[in-house]
Amino acid sequence: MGAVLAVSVAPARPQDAAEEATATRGEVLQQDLESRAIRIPVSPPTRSETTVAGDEAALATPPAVRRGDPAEIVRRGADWRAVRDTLSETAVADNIRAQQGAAPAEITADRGRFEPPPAPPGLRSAAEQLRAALPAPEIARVEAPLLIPAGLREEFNIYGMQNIYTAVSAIDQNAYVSISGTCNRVIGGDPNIVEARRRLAEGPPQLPGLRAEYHISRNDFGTDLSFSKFGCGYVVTIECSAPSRDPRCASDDYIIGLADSMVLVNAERAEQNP
Amino acid sequence: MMHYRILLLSGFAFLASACGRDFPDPSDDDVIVVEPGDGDAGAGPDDGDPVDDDGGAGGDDSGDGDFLTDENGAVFSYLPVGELLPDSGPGHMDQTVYRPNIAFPTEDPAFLNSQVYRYGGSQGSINGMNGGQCHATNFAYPWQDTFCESRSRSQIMCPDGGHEGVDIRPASCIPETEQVHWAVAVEDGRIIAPSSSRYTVRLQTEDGTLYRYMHLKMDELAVGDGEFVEKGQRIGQISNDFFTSSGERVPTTYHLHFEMYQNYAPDDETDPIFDQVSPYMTLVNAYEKKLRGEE
Repeated sequence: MGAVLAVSVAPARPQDAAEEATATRGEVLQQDLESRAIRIPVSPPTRSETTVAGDEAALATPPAVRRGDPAEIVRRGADWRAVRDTLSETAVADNIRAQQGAAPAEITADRGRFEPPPAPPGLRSAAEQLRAALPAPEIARVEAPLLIPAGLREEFNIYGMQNIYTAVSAIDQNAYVSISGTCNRVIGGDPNIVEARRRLAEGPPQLPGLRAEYHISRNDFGTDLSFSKFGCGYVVTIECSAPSRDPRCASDDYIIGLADSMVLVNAERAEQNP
Repeated sequence: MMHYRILLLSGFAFLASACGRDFPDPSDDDVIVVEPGDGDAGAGPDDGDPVDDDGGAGGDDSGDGDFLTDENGAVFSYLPVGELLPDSGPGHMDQTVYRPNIAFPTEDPAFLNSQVYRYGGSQGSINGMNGGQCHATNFAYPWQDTFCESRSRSQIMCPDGGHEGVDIRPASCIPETEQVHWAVAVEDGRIIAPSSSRYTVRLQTEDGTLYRYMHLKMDELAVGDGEFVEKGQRIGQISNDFFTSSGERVPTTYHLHFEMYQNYAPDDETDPIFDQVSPYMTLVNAYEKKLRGEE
């Protein structure tokens, strides 16, 4: 956009008629907001009832105002059988490719490129070399399938907890990627949201390699890609120093490529969990 | 009182970029004014402000003893979820209290309202709210929702793209009061604040929730990367740190941008989506507990 920012010190100006008119409009709006606001009685008849400010009649008989529908956390584990099956199927496919003379399924996401090469479909365990470079105590804490994008391996920090983890890696000095995952899920709450989320779950695009449905959001500093796999939810985030100019944040290709290059760090859990 | 004026030329709004929205370009000589000390922007009772001063952080809503008040005696009130300012977006109706037992994310009283479409915001004139960010009503109740407020960004639950969290003003306007206001951990959890992130601090909890705090004074955080923290522990000072989408450092209004990620599924059979949800009613619930001394 080429914005030019200048900062100056200016004296206060006398208001002209137009400014007074707009100021009045703002005041009227503010008064309207205040008149419609909800106040909470110190001793409400029930915790779900409140009173509309300014409505004196309501003080005697507070109308029931909906104030929050509780959601519920469902504690869940991953579908480890699906993890094992996916690992096995990928290994078989890689063997077939090798017998046909194809190069081994090496997944990379070159730092200098904005579109990492598409990974061969499937899911693979992280190589021993990668595992050795990651913090073992952090990995040991995590009970969810611990996925990280390949190709950014040597600089990953992992923040492990039993039911959630985040892995973070600086791509370079202008961008970093993180992935968080959990198998716990939240259900319930506002019935309108339940319905809206059902509609959202109908037919989202799919990561071709990982075969997982995904959604992309953009924010002030980068891009999120959320996907679901093995019954768990993951969100990949890229933060960029210049989100609108850096193609890693400005376009979808890079984050889709990263999300599609996931490797499994804690494959031993697949054997431990029947 | 010093009167600052920030001028943005070439038709792009300073705060718009700071808050992530590409607004329609009104003109090539568009001038956006952000004046912390404009003539009508005082927060005190004797500032001559025609807009009422009660209900603010130090307000005295007389005859309101039946309603919850904050520590300054101001009666807390809020607008229903999803009711945004006129012409600031469709909003998002979500009554869900996702986390019923969190602490409120600021230590002091706080005010949820728009940073873009109110006084001091680049689009305040849309609603006749011309003036500086320290305008008294910015630091007064009622709260107003800003989830899905119109921005150029896209969030899954926002029909036309929009703000993926809520904005929380601190108890006082820092450019005027020079007070320090702390953001705190809403739950026990673990801090994610790698040096490679210059924008945000995240808090992840054992239950599987992620929170994102933004516009803290990033070079003076009270927590370390990877640290396990307790509910209520100080994380950082609410500030105005930000960068434009082109990467230049630029101050935004003083506020805390707060996001909540949940791995939400409509039912136990459908695949979840781990993304931002509206924290508004969760924060109303948390604030009520704070005012009741139940945190």
